Amino acid sequence: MIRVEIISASAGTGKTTRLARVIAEAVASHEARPEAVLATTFTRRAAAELSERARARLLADGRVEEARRLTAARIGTVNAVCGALVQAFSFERGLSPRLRVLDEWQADAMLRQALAHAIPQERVEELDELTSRFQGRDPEMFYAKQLDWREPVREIIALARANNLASERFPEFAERSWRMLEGQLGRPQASAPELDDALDRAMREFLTGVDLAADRTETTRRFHASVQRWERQGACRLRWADWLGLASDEPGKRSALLASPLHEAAEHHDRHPRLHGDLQRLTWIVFDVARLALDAYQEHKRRLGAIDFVDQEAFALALLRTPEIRERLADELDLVVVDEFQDTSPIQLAIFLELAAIAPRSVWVGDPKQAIYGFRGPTRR
Amino acid sequence: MSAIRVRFALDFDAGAWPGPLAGREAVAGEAWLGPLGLLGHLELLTGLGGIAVHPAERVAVLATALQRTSGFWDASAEVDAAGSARELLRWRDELVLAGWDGRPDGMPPRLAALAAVTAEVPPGAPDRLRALADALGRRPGDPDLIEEIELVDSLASLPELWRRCLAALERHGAQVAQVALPVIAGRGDLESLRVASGRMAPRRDGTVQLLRSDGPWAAAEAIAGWLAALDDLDGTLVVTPSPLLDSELHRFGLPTTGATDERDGEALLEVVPLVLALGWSPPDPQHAVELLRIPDGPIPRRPAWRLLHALEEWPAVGSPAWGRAIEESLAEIDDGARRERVRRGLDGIFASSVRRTGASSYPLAELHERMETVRAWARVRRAVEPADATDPSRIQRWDRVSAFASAIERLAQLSLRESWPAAELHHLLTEARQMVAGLASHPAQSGIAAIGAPGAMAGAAKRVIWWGFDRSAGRAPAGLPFSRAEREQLAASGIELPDAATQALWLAQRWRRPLDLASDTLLLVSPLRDEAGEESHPHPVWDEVAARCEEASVASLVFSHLVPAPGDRGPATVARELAPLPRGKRRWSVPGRQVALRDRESQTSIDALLRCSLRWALRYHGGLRGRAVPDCTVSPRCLGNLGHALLEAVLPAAGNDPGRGERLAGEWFEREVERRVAALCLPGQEGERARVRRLLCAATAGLAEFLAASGLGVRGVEQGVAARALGRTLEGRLDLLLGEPPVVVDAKWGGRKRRFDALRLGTASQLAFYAHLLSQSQGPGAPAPAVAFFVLSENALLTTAPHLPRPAQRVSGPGAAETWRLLEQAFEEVRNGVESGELLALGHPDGEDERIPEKDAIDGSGRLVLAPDCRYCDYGGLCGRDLLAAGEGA
Repeated sequence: MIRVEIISASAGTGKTTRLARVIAEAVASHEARPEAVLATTFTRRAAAELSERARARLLADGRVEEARRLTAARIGTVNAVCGALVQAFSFERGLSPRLRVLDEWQADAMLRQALAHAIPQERVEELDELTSRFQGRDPEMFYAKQLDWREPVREIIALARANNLASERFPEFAERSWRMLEGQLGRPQASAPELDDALDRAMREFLTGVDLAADRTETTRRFHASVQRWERQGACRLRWADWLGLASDEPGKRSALLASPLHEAAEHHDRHPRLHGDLQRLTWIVFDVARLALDAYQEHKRRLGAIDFVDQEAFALALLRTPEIRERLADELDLVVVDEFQDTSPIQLAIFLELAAIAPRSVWVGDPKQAIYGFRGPTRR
Repeated sequence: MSAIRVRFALDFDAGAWPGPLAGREAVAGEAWLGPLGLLGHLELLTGLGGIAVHPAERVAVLATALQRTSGFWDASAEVDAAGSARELLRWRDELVLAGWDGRPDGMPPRLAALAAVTAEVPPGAPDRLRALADALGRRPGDPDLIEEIELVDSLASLPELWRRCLAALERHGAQVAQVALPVIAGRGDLESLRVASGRMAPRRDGTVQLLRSDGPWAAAEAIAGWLAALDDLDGTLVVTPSPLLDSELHRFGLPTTGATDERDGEALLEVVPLVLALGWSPPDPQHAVELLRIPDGPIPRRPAWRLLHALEEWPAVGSPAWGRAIEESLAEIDDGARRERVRRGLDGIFASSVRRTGASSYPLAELHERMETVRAWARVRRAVEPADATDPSRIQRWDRVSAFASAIERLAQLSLRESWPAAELHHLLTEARQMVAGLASHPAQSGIAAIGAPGAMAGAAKRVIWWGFDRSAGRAPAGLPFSRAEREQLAASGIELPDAATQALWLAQRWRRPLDLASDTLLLVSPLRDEAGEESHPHPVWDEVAARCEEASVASLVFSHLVPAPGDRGPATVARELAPLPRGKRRWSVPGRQVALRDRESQTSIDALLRCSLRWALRYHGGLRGRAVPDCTVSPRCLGNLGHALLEAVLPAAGNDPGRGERLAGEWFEREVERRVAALCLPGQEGERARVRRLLCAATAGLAEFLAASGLGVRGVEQGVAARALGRTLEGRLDLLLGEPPVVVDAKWGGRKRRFDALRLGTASQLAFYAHLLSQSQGPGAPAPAVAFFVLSENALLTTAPHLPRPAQRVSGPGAAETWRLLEQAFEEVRNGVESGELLALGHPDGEDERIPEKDAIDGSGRLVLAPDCRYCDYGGLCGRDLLAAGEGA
């Protein structure tokens, strides 16, 4: 049975003071050795304040020795505490003992490098080809993020790591994602050429029918120019964003009626078998690339002796679940204190639960309005 | 040799206060030593001294052993052998200090393995101390060794091996005694702080200050200002100074402490990793830029300037522009021998040979050659450096570069490897960097004393400045991560490792010394943010100060600005008269006809003239060029250049065959991209590379398809054209000329919408210029050519010519002849201004009356207005626009 004392406290109610008191009292009563205190906060400032106040309280009570020993306690942000734990047991994790912690920018650069080594060129080209079909309508956005396939890859990787999900499960997630996406689309029509022909016909009819001399509005002129360009390419080569444009863009009022058949033909794009095929393939391939990239990224970082913030937590959790490490930490921990526990991510919650199972006493402080007591056995104060 | 008296403290290796000379003019037979100092001294006396091996060399030897011996370190050593070796040596050294003899007998399994794998590692300081203790134990009594050792730290706080050594010295007749630190009478708040009982109510008299400036520069400036105002610096002690503080002390004409920083980022040292990095193929052009821009770097200034401009044209080492820049630079050197030397130097640095693939390794031979190149250059530069007694760091800079290169080679040699994967090479550099001594920003001078740790203070100091009074400096050291069973087994063998609590207590005692030993002023410097801009918090010692104060009164010891202590003068200030910055303006006058239009102008120069005549004059008459700051990323500009080069090479052969065009474009791209836009070939750029390749192939095929549909042929690519117009000879270069009838095509990477609008509104001045030149050059009666933009990334051919068939897209617009007519008018207007001596900086608003055109347009009175291109202008500082952008000028 895991026992955790929960202290409910909203912002501005003296949480840090309360936590400092918990630590100082536990130390003063010899319930906890000062160096055997572990406290996590969400900011460096909060960690410094907590340490300062706990020491101040002990010093005020004349417990100079205990206050000085508290400098050996593990008090810091969740990442700092996890990072120190990982560093201390680097040989057990097969990591470099001088780990470099990557900030977000560095982590992103390293992910790109890992992708470079892990993803075959043909796969990159296929992805490029597929994503080009979903390219936005504004060609000036060539370098914008919107179509960078690495974005969803990064997102999948980040989510999987934050939730401690193994890359082997990605094919399953790809299938589920596609099924959900498919549910949002229309039922695919049997024949692609039929839909293409209908759109080609509608475009030609519009171009023939519109009278630019009579309708001299800027809106019509622009719409006409777009249709002219798309008609030149032919429906079978249009990007999906262009189909969307044809379904929703309007010429000037005078020519609006002429555009109706065009809208009608184009708005069936969500039933287009080719769109379904492209999206299914893209979904599958993005997850597959994410799978390859995640493994390569982890290995790439390991080889460079680098870890990112997510690693600090994931590795710390793995360590806390290792029997020998638990045994060692059981000797070194008397009190675990968690600040702002309502803001914890699932992996952090798992870490705190493991710590609570190792240390004789755990105290969590948080805002009850946002509480997530979804675990077994908390006691409430 | 007569015996000496030693005062010993664990922190004395980084300087000691006050030292043997305290209050005396001369002293003999006394030394204040830390562990390394005393060890060295005793080795000298006993004849045991060997060559001290640098820790990085020990690491290199052990790293090699780890890779050849299986053990609990396997997985870690596989990814970072040097890092694993460093950590294992820390374990070993601490164990030896705790009394381990380095043998596996009776050790737990991990430590037995550690003993075996470290057996052949050269001895570190703890091994040397053990050998000394053993030798002292064996030798007959020698009272001449040391007369007396005074311990500043408690005997219990010393490592077991030191206790053994001291006991052995006692047996040799040395007196070992604990010395009590003096009790200092302070004043004001400083005195109250030291009273044992009760709480103090601070008077805020400046004798104790926690200085919380915004950042370290502000703190350093305040301290230097304060010290500069004092009559007498005697008794001033800085604890843990930094080069930053020295810079400010120097600025105020004060003595400096000679502080060094291991992490100093001196640019010259960067030459070493950059020269190594340029060995990878393709070289990262950004590395080339960084190397070329290092002041005093290995590339002579003139070639460096040319190569930077070559990188502006093509961001790749080895491009056609790069080759031209090298040849032109060499041609400028008259001395044949020097020319050859420069050629060899450039080859040695920029001729990359190690292919950059996932599994590639950096070969030893390449590493050796490159380090030799660096050393040879540093040697020559050191030899020609004028001896300047006032700044020895000038010479040290070159020595440090040589030392770095040599360290890399030495560690490479010790590792017994033939090559290094990229990650291992990175680790090698990290280790070698630690072998290069830190460089002081200013040399140590007498006048202000400094110590490297608070524990090195063992006597009174009038004024104590504890620089770097930061919480991060107040962490207890990481203990050894041994299990309970391992510790028990060690204890059974007589090895007691100090626990975290005990270490924290000893450390806290040493931290207290500045508080206890300052007599007049104690300044604790803890800026709100550190040098990196990160929030920082005061050292844990501050908690002890705060605890002495009555509740809520501690804030009165916290100062955002330094306050003079009683009797001290206020900080020194230096009055400076600031010259006003020149005011920016729109209209500039040039006397007489100093700036006249030339007989030959190009499309580029006329375009510059119409957009901003000041810029035109500075560029074409003044010959001013901005400093080359090449953009080595994959920019639309370099992709446009790539597209131009591709069309020039491929289109004539592709003709009107789209399939052939696509294939030839793909082949050309594969062949050329690396030496034109190298960034596309660097790891992590595969997506961009594939995309650019696809778009360029599609564009080539699209153009061929248009040729087939129109029946036109390629008459010229990048073709020069010149004709008389605007009263002078004008010239230009056509991207693409098709015919017959002629069609002038301007290829652009992107901006389809912008091109479309330019044709529609009649502001496509570049196309109009070319079309006019072409028709003029062909004599009277020549047909006016059609014009078109070809947008590469969109594979879109936009034209105003009604006769051009699809896939060209027709744009309704006034046509090139009309645009030329407007351009002529605009030119006349600007020419009149220039010839009357008035230049216009069109990007400067000069008050609110003038509007800056944002884009090319035909204004209300039918004039062609070309917008100034201030984003890419080097002269914004001259016309004043940069100041406006920064909100500083008017």
